[in-house]
Parts: sequence; C-alpha cells; structure tokens
Amino acid sequence: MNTEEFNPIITVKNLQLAYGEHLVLQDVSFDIKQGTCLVVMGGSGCGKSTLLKSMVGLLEPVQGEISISGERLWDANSNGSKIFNKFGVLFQGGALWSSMTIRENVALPLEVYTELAEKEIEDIVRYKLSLVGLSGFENFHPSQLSGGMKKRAGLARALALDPKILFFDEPSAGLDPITSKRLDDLITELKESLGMTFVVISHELASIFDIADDAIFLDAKSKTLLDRGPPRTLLDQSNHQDVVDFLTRNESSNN
Amino acid sequence: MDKISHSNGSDKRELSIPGLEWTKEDGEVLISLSGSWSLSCPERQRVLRRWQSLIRQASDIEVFRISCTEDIAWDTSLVIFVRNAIDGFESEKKKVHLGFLPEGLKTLLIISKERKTNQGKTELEDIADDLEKFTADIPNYFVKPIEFIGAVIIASLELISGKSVMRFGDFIESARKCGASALPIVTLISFLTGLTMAFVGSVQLEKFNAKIYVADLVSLAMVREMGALMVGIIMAGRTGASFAAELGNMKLNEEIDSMRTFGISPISFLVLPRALALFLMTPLLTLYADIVGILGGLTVGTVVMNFSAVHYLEQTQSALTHMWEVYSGVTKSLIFGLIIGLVGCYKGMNSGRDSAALGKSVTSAVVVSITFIIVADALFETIFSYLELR
Repeated sequence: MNTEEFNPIITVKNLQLAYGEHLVLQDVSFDIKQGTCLVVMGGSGCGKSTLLKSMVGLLEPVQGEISISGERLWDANSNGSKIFNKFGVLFQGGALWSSMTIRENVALPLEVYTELAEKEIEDIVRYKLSLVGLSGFENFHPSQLSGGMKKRAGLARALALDPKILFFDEPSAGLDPITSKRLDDLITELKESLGMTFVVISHELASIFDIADDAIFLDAKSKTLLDRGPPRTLLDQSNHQDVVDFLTRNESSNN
Repeated sequence: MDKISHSNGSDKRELSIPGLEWTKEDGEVLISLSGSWSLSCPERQRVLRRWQSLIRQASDIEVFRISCTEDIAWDTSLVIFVRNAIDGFESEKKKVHLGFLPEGLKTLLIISKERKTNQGKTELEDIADDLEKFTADIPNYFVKPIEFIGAVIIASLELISGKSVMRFGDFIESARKCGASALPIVTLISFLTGLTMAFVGSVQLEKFNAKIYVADLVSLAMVREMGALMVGIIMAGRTGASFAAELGNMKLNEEIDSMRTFGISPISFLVLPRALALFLMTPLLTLYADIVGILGGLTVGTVVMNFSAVHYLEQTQSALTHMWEVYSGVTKSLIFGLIIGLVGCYKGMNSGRDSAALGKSVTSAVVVSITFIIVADALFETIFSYLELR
C-alpha cells in the first residue's frame, strides 16, 4: 500500500498505551487517508476504546505520537484548541450533557467556537438534527430520549462544527438493525458528500463490510496491531487465523 | 447440550443421593460414581467428607480409575468434584484413568481444565498489596488537588480576562440552587441555634443576675462563630454533596470526556460557575443566618424572659458596636464557601467510574469539607487571637 500518494489525515506512530502499570497496546502504527472510513476491530478488551481515547486527546500515550492534520496531539507546543474543532467524537452512549436540552447540546460547540448569531445557530441545529432524523426533539432533555435517539443526538452534536474527522465508538451497539443500517448509510453519505474521514470502532460485521474502506485488527494477546487492510482483502488474504475467524463469523451467519 | 440438564426424575429407582464407591484392587483404586449428584442435595457434604478421608488414606496408591454408572444424574457439583479429583491426583504425580463418563461431563471437564486458579494470594499478601497501592498513591493526594486548584485559578483568570467559556446563566442557576433554595433550611437551623443558646445562656446568667446579657451572648456567638459554621455545615451537606454527585455522574456518563473532546474545559464550564456561586452565596447566607439567629434569641428574650423587644435589641446593638465580629464571621464564611465548592467539585471530577465509587466520593466530599471547615475555623480563631483582633 503506497501511502505516499495520499496525504494521511491521521498518523499514529509506535503508539504505546497503558493505564498506570497495566499495558494495553504497544507498537501500534497506522495512518488514515482523508475521506475514508477506517474500522477498528478486535475482540473485547483488546484496547479499541483505549486507542480511540488517546486519539481524541483523553489518554496520554506512554510513548509514540499521534498527528491529526499535521498537528501533533499531546505536544506541549501545539495549540490544542486548533485540533479540537477539527474532529467530532461520538461516545458509546451518546454522552449528551444531561443538564441541557438537545438543542443546547448541539448549539454549545457552535457558541464556543463561532461568532454566529443566535438565529443562525438555531438554523444549523435544526439542520443537523434533521440529518440524524431527530427533528422536533429540540426541547427534549437527554433523559427523555431512548438509547438510539441519544446516540443520534450525539452524532448531531459531533457534526455541529462540520468536523473533517469523526470518531465513532460502536455506532451499532444497542441499536436495532434498521436504525443501525440508517447510521451506516449516513456515514457513507457524509463520507461521499463532504469528504469526511471516519474512525469507527465496531464488532458488527455486517456494518464493517458496509462502511469500511480500511480496517485494523487489534489483538488482546499480543497487545498490538495484528493486521490491516480492507475487510474483504483481509478475509481472503490475511495470514492471521484470528482475523479470518473474526470476519468469517459474519459469512457463516449470513448463509 | 441437552445432556447437561439432569433432574433426578426419569428413573424412579434412582437414588436421590450421590453415590461413591471406592474399591482397592492390585494397588489401584477404582472410583465409581453413581446416584444423583446435585448441588442442592444435602447428602453431598457427607460424601465429600468421606472422600477427603479416603484420599488421605490412599497416599501410597499410584493409579486411580474414575468412572460413572450409566444412570448417573449430575450437575455442576459432579463436574467440580471430578475436576478437583483429577487435578488433585495429577498434582501429586499420580496416574488417573477415566472410565465411562457421560458425554456432556467429558466436554465440561475439558472446558473447565482451562480455569485458572487465582487464589495464590494470602490475606497478608493482600494487605501488602493494599499498602503498596496506598503508598504509590500518596503523591496523588497532594499532586492532584494542587493541579486542580491550579486549573481553577487559571480558569478564574480566563474569566476575568473575558475569555472563559463559562456561561453566565449556569452561574445564576447555581447561585439560585445553593443560595435562595437554601433559605428555608438555613432559617430553621439558625433560628433554633439562636433559641437554644438563649435558653442555655439564660440559666447560667440568671445565677449572676445578669439575664440581659443573653442578648450579648447570642448575638456575639451567632455573628462570630455559629452563623458561619452552621451555614458551612449546611452547605457542605447540601451543596457540596450535590456538586460531587452531579459532576461524578457526568463523569460516569462520559459527559466530561465528551466536553474535553470538544476542547471545552470542564473546569471553566462546570466547576467555575458552581464554585463561584457558592463562594459568593455563603457569606450572604451567613449574614442572613446571623440575623435569624438573633431573632431566635429575641424570641426567648421576650416570650420567656419578659424583656421588651426594644430593650433586647438595644443590648444586642451595644454588643456589636464595633462590627468587627460581623466582619470576622463573614470573612470566615467566604473561605468556608471556597473550601466546600472546591472539595465538592474536586471529588466529583475525580470520582471513579462506577456507582459505588460515586457514592464514596459524595460521602467523602461532605466529610472532607466539614473537616476542613472546622480546621480553618480553628486556624482563624488562633490567628485572630494572636493578632488581638477582638
């Protein structure tokens, strides 16, 4: 794979992550091309969410570096806020701010980072909510929404600042197949129409084959990146039995 | 896997207790298991005790053969029994041969072989581990709070320079919650405090025929000490706990993480409005508590001791002519408010990520802030007395 031709928007080099003395991942390097969707796969406990946390600036790596659009994360000299409004993050449960309404949730990043007039913010919020199918829920509080709706509201908030990159922790976990398919379609649409880059953690195989341009497989035993490539290619050509097993689970259940 | 389900039903003649036969033959032991092996069967304990004594007597035997009768009924208890038997023999380097076993049991024996024994630690080692963890944590007790206070100071400077993301509405909301909403409880408690002090004081002062000095006693004690302290304790239990619970719950729901990923500082956005509101509301509540406490004293003075209200209030006024007592109480309460707000928010922000940890941090927010308040109060009084400010 020749990465020289494309400008990688995210580069991860020799990353080592740990919680205190408990090592989670080591020697992880990969990059992501702009406008593609990378899926992070692996069994539970292999460090997928931890990797995501470090990529969005919540967990400082023990070693190694992460760059987003050329800005190094976790570098004392780099300007944090310059990076932060380039990406959006959607946590597993949506992580909406529970004291605010849905409208306020989506509007807050806009209020903090832009000088837009209230009317304009209002329009943007309505548009983003319609994008995820939540029109009319502006004045609801997060506690009044179902799990799937919270996740979609979280997506609307993550999209508020038109980020170039979206990090997505298990979009389909706890969603019914139809809603989860809609989310997958939305990812593909946003990718194609806006050229957004996606980093998605997922075990849902149907959705992996749908959305992923590229995938990495993390392994809990060796605590590192086992293989990478488009899922179809991995399925046919991977040298690692674990990767093939992971991906064939889907094929057998479909037949 | 329907073979695993074995109620002791189908065969009526079947024994409903576990059977264990132990036959010695040519230096080998044949163990034959039969009957019904069920966790709920009380007879099992007896069989297990017998098993222990048989094992102890069989230390010279090298080969064991384990088999089951075909009509054995079993559940987890048999799996564990056979697994432990095999492991026990193998650890003593003895040979184990398995005869007939139900198919399902064989499968489960193989699966359970992989279980890891994790009981290697004695109680003493556990204590040692805890101690090690505690000592490794000691720097955290100092470093983390100092980092937190530093972050709050930076956030306050940002607020002063007008660059903060703190929303004024959040501040007003917090001020309403910890200020105006606390008025009923502050009223009740400080009124009763004043009342009680007047009763207690009147009994003593009556002996010296100096009953009117109840007004001095109540007003000085209330204004200088009890007002600030009572409000501090109420605020710690009411507002400090709710800060810790709110922020801890936000942390639990990844709300604080998601705020960070937007580059919005949770210190500016969540901690500052709360801490600032409490810092400003506590002195106001203290002044209010002082007045209500004096009214409590007045009630006793007029109703029980039959002074006229004017007389009582004039006496109170003369006791407080210098106003220094009032200032010292209010100064203290400013610091109390600061302590409660910071401790509550710190405990919430550093709460663990499960509901038990959340409860712990709320409790600890209250305990720590009340302790700090009392310590600060003692420090203040010591300093005031050395500086002869009275």
